[in-house]
Amino acid sequence: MTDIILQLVQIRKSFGDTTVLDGLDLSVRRGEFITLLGPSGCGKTTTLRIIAGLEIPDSGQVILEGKDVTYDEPNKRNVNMVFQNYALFPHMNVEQNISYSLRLRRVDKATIRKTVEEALELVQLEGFEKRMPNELSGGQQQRVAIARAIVNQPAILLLDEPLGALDLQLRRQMQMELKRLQKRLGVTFIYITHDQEEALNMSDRIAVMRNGQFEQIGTPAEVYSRPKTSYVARFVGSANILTGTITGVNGKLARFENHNGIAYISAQDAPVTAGQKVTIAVRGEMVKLTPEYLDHPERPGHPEQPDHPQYPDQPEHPDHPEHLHHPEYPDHPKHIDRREHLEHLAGLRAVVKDKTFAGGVLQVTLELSDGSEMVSKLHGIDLPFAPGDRVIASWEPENAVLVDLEETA
Amino acid sequence: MTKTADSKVLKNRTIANVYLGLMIVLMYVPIVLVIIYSFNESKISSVWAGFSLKWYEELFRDRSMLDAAINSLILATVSSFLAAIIGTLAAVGMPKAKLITKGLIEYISTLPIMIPEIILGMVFLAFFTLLRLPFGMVTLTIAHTSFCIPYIYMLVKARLVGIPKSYAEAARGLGATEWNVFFDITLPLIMPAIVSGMLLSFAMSLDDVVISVFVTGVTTNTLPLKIYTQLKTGVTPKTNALCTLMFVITLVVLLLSSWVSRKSPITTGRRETHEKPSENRLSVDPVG
Ligand SMILES: Nc1ncnc2c1ncn2[C@@H]1O[C@H](COP(=O)(O)OP(=O)(O)OP(=O)(O)O)[C@@H](O)[C@H]1O
Ligand SMILES: [Mg+2]
Repeated sequence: MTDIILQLVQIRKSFGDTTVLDGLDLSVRRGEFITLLGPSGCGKTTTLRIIAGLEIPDSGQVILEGKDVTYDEPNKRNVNMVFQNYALFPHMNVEQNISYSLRLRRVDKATIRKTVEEALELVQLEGFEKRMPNELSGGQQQRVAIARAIVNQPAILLLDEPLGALDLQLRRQMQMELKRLQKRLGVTFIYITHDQEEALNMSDRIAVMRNGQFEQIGTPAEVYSRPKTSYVARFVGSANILTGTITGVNGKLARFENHNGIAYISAQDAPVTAGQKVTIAVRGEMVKLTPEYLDHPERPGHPEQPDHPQYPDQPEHPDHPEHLHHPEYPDHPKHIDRREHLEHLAGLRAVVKDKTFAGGVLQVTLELSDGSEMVSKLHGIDLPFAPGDRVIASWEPENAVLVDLEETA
Repeated sequence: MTKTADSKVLKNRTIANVYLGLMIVLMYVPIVLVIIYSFNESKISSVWAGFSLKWYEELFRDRSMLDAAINSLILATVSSFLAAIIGTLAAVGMPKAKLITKGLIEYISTLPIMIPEIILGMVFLAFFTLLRLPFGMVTLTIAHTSFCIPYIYMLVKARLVGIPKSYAEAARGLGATEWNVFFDITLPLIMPAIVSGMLLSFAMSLDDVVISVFVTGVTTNTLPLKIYTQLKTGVTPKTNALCTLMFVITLVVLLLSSWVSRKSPITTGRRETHEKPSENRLSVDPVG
């Protein structure tokens, strides 16, 4: 209990007719770096402003260090905010900006000088005391804004897209610096971004927001690999979302089927039963592509060919209905753990629609036979896929995640 | 295509030049003439008899003229100060007020700029008579303050619009009360607008005739009124000297005003945007 520094309880807020926050709950631990991630207009800034006291919620409570501060003035709360436009006071130089909170508290001059010096050292801006804000670059202004916000030792630092206005390179660098600073100071950071990569890189926990509510709160690994809903899966790492029916369960594996083909998913985390309609999420980088002709039995090297070294007992074409209950079929108990088979047999039929190459990754857009789209991200340049090619898309069962399950537990 | 565009530009330029020429001739030639004749030795305005400062000497010997000048200066100073205080408070306070009539109040308070002065003067006259106020410096000050307020109000309001809300919010987060925010953040940032508004008010008050005619007392005279009455008895080069002095004072005040507003931190703040590309250099050397 003691290590919960901030609690939001059923926060509601609307502006006129639009409900912006709709019963928000959040617990923030002392010293953690938590990121609010969500699309534009989902209420991230509003949440931060309510924590800072710049906005009063219609209902609900803000509990800071065990004390209800919902209706307290901003200057009575031990939290500081770093704005996206930095909001440095244009008529004060760097030193005056940073020392503003100390001067308000009438701290003596010597202490102020020392604190400002330390703060500038911390953000690597030694010697910039006398510069005016308009004589600083964007990155430098950003550092001053952070220095200004930390000198009066707030319990929580609120950062609203602090790197939003910086270019990519500087942004990467500042991400690391911010993280280092946060570790060093041990200050709780509540951070806003709509850049999912930034969120995954920096946060201890990520709270994915949607329409004024949190959809999932968890570590970056949890949110990334085990999204609870298709929304989270799509927003964090833009996963492929597929719907279909479970047509067979066998221990750890379940068979998933839809118009496009068959796939296997892990049934370990969530129990499913045959006949159940489900939604699954698969990340593009987990989707493997096989040219469809490889599946053709006549093809040299096809498992059915006697000289194939890897799949000596390959049955006939897997998509053929007659074979579904063949004892050789992979979900037959006999073969359940033979990954090679699953990988080769299962798959969704698709046509390559488009491919783009970016950052060492080939992104292939596929059109499934029911017209929906899917993305596969492959490493390497020299991949034999061209628009119009027929392919089979498949993945390892544990890389498919069941999402949008009704909460019954 | 380009040819017609060119000739169009040329035509526009010709129109602009003609307009500029007319403006200069109509507005500035008379002023220059007045200034030249104020140094004229001769008593007859239209005859040049050599350079002399005697009309200025005579002017400074004229007791009533000096009294009027002092009255005018006091009036302009006091009313521009009062207008600055009231106008600033209104501009700063109005956005915070949650009145349904806010829009109406704003409209009414800027109305005096559009109402013909002669009507304003009559209104003031009726109002002061109703209040049984003795006509003189007090009524003059009230009237001048009222017609100056809208200028301050509009200038300060325009400046406030350019100040991001986040300055005040950041300050609040850092521990500032509403008062701290006003004195530490808002006031310094709107000061250039207040000062240029005051200087404008000063100039307006200094040369006001129409409204002053209605609200002045029998024994009180302002400089413009004095000149106006002199006109009836015939223009002497002394009047030219006085006009020259007033022109110089007004000019200095207005130049000061535009200089102050150009020096403001917000306008210079625009440089930030132009400097963005230089950030690349930062990624090499974070300390800059
Ligand atoms: N003062 C306000 N008056 C009216 N509507 C507002 C106000 N502030 C925010 N909103 C509305 O509330 C919604 C959420 O706004 P908010 O600024 O919290 O979004 P956000 O998640 O921060 O988005 P972004 O990523 O674009 O910054 C938006 O639809 C916005 O239009
Ligand atoms: Mg926002």
